[in-house]
Amino acid sequence: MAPLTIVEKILSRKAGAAVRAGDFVTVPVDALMIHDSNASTTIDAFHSFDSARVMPGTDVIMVMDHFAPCPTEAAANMHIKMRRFASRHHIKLYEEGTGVGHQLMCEQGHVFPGEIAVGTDSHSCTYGALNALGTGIGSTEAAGVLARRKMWFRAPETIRVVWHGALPTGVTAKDVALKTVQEIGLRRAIYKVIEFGGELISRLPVEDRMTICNMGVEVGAKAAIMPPDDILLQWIKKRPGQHRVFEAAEADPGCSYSLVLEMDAGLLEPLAACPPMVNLVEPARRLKGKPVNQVVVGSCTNGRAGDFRAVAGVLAGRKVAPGVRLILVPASQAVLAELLADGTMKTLVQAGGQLIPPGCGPCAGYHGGLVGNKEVVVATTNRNFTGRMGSREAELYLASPLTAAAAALSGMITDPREVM
Amino acid sequence: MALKTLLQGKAHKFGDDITTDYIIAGKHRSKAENVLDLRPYVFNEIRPGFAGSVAQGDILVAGHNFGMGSSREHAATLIRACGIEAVLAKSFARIFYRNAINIGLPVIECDTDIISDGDLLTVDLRQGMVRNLTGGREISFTPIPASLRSILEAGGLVNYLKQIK
Repeated sequence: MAPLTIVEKILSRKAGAAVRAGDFVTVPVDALMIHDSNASTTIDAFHSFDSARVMPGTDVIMVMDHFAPCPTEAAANMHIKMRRFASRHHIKLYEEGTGVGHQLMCEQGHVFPGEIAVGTDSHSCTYGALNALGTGIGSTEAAGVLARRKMWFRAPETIRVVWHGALPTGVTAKDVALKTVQEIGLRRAIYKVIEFGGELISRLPVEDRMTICNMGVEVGAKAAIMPPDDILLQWIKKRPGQHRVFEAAEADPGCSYSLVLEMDAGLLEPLAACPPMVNLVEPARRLKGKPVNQVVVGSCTNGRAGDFRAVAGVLAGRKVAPGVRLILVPASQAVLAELLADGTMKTLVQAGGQLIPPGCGPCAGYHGGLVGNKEVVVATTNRNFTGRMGSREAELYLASPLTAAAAALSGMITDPREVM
Repeated sequence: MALKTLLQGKAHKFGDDITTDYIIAGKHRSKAENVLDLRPYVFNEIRPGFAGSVAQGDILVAGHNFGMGSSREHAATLIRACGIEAVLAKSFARIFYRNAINIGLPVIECDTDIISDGDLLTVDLRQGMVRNLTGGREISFTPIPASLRSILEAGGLVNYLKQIK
């Protein structure tokens, strides 16, 4: 058989025949995540099928992360609708405050290597860190998966991004993600997959790999994916929850890539994506002095324990600058428990941080820290589009937890190497 | 609902990289249980009052990468609910494209440079032809692939899947 990319291999196994880029296939989906912002429309679409029975075989979860806790009556009513649906169809429901869907899919054991996992959220590409084909779908498509378990795919071309070298001091996986977006741009990967590799990736913990895959959709990609290795397999083994048989997928030598990019991590410095697009990336030092009103640490991109520990490392024994709001939103309850147990959260709250419940928080402007006119935000989140976090006159800068910590400490955008 | 294959309407022209946050920002989602009640907020971030400016049958025209970002299907649902019956763009973000097909909204990749805001257009989905009646120019496009057209013709994915059951 001709050599296959990781994603061609995953689709081929599901289809039971060799699938190459450009082929259309209809295959079963292993896992599905439905979150509260798109659950109501998914439920409505599902009810418009004749057979209102969820087809068994897909690991389905419903998650209340976008409205957690509810900011409006309408949101509360949408949550009631979700609870009824989940209960009626015996679907695993993650309540308000449990965490962000993507984090729960990975952390609580709903995604396994070599699988196809979809979600009603564009950042479902995060699952690629676990060697799964993860991609975002709409509500009607999700209803189709509930009713039929299957989905059609056009097998995508793959862009291989090889990260060589090691991260210099002050540089994190988020900077790798931002640099990747800058290099590829907003459109070059539309309908393609980004397959990451190289010695940098192979040394990163799974949590950091999730940060990088999470931003794959910002270049238009259908998915971002990484090869399996011992670090991943050990991580999967230690995870709580269910276990199921899986078959990790590696690229065959000599498989066909539409583009190969070789990147050197050793040349990286702390970065920030400037408003209003994720590819407008600049070194943080070049933005030095930009006054900041709010700093947000969290999200499916950077809301894990290591991210908060990095912030605590900068802020320990120090105070957030006067006039700056530091919002802390752990990606899950499990992450929060870890941060409470090791004292990280105490350090951050003593420094002046305000803790909000695990979930999406203000990332997409749903609740918990929207901003007003002309305000400037540094966030560890994944999108900085006009109006995303509140006022359309606000400016959103995306950066690593370290760069966010430096902004919280100094009250302005700052290269974190100056304050570490 | 059978697919209308001959459309005529006024162009509402947008640029490149229009995000789903611009189409309908996340911050509005919790304002109403029924997404259709969010019509007044469509394009609120970049073109406030959009819903009121659309007549039924109008056509949305954009540059590259239309609908980038979020997977929220109501970006497509709400564009249609405002009265838009087709979207023409140089290219689409993949989730938006798929969502539009799944709800039965025609999405057409073609050169949109010869269309200006307010131009009167006709779109022939079968022939693969856009005529700019104001500018007097024609643009041909590759008709939507057969497999996707069958979803569109069924009125969306739900009806399509019911048919093939």
